Amino acid sequence: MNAWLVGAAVLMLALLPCAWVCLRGRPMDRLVGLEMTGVVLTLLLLLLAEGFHRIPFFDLALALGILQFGAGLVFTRFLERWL
Amino acid sequence: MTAGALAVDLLVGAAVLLTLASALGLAVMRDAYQRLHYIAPPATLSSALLTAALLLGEPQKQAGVKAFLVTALLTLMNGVVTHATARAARIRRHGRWIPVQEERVPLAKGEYAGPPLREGRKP
Repeated sequence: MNAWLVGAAVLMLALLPCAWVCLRGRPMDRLVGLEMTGVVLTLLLLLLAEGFHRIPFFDLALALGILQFGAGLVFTRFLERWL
Repeated sequence: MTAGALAVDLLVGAAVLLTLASALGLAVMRDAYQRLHYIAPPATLSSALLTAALLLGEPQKQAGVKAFLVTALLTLMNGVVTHATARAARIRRHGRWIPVQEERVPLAKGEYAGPPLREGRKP
């Protein structure tokens, strides 16, 4: 157990308020909660990658960062016009 | 514990606490526009703190380079996504992006921000 894994365990608590916002509120509020969840998960992957000393795991955080950007834009487009 | 290890632990702790506080702030706020502000600190500061901790504590520089890429990505894209989300929220609420004549935001005593009133219209 090192500081990185302890930090990752504590950072998981940040997902609870994000889940609360995603489950309740208007659609735009839920989208903001989803975007925040993506950021928290990216940081979580960074912590876990260093905590387990697995260099390839950093690629997961990079991939998630790229995908959440595209997903956020797609959802904003849909909520703006069609949903 | 060496000074370097202590610095790494402090940086990680600061990043985690900052993200926790931002998540709590996101849940407490009532409006989507206000909630959007709380995505910025973890996307920029927390990722930068974690990258600094990695560069300090990890002997393999490949990890630091990848973390730096993640930080740059989050920092640059956060502004774009935040703006797009706020724009979508406004269009969803008002039906249009540009301000309308009736939309004048009160600032201080007797002052308003918005388009100038047409003749004969009261503030």
